[in-house]
Amino acid sequence: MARSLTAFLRAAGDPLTDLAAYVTTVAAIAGEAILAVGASAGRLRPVVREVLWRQVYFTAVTAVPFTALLAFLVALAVAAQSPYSAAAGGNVLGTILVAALVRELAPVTAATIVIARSGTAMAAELATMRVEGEVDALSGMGIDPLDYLVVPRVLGTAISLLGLTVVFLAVSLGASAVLSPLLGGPTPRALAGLVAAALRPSDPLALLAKTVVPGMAVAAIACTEGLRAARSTTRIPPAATAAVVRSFTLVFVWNAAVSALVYLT
Amino acid sequence: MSTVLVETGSLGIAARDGSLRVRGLDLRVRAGERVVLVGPADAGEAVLRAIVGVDLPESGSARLLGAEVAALGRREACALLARAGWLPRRGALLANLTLRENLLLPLAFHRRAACAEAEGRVRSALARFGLAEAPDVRPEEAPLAVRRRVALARAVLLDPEVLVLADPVDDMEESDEAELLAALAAWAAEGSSRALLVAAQRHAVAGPLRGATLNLPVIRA
Repeated sequence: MARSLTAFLRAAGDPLTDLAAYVTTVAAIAGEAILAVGASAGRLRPVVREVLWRQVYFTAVTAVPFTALLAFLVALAVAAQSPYSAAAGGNVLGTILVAALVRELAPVTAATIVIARSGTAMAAELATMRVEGEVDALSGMGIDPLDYLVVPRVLGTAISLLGLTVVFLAVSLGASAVLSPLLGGPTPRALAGLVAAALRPSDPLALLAKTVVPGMAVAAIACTEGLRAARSTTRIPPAATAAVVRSFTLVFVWNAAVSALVYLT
Repeated sequence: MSTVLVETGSLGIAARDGSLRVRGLDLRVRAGERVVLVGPADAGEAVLRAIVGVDLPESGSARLLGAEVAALGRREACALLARAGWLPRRGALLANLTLRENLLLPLAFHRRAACAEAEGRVRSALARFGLAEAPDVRPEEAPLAVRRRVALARAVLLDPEVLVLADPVDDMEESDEAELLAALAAWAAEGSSRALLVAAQRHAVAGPLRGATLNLPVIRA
């Protein structure tokens, strides 16, 4: 009995210990990025800033058309509910837009785009750099890979996720306003009033928490997976896959936790 | 007695693929000396990796500029390594940067050098290895001889106290090899405080460098 209990505890405990160690690593990397900004009083080395803006360009700027397309399609789906909204007195659409779009779909969809496009790319790029000896070359030149490779990617991805969420919201709310009257719903002005009435003071803060934190974490996970990959080309795809799976898990868990904390209490 | 810049004591380290091991290497490189470690490429690079702190020794110690790099904190290790020039095998230039960006990277990172000063340093480092400028192309688009010259220029760019080079002329044409070894010898001769530690697969490399050779104590796993 005692032996089987020990075996059970070990079987349950080992994954939990691994998870705790992994979460600590990711949190430490994100913390390092925040400290780097703090220590340099917001003025990172120009060469690090260059990597950061390159990351923002790749992660956010080049993803704007795809994000806008998804936002439009989501708005179309939500606006299709306009007749039901009208039947229910017309004010349901505002609540749907805020509850579904602003609070949940916008940050999660933007995070999905970032993970699919940049999380995989980052993990594969860093794993390749490790295989090719580029990470060691940097270390040997006294260029800390954490400072040069990881910190700007973490900060750049956080900025990008926030930016893409704003793009998603702007396009989806704008498209909803245009489509709503065409589908028998409220006019754009009436819809704006309904959305404003449904918003809570805590929404901006919750949105910030659902974008900046996952943005940093997605990059930290991708960098962790890339930099700890074994030095073999066959280990590059698994590093990218692990980054995607872990990032999605984190984004959905974090999103649910923030929603529960902000909207259920 | 001149300063010891590189020192190993009974160093034991395995090549990364585990196929061979260096056992009990005692090495001392003083300012003004040029030493060529002769042995299989993987073994030579493993020793140099231990010296610059990229890999941990299995046994013994490896010191660079008076410190065990692997035992230092991140900031201290980076500051120390900025005083040495390191060239891994095949140069390991960053594939996502152009040759010019690769060359400027250590300067931009460590010195935050002004443009004019950076340009001057870059020109002089490139000229040393027979290039007028670093082409603005990615490493894979440039021939090996150009890549290797840029990697060597990058290694000397910060005016290091010691150059630690793994197979700097590996796979090169004879004429390019002679030219680069002569350039390295000239670099070492320019200051009595400079030292050169090279890992090579052939004793012949030591001649043009006018350096002492040391056969690596290697055992096959």
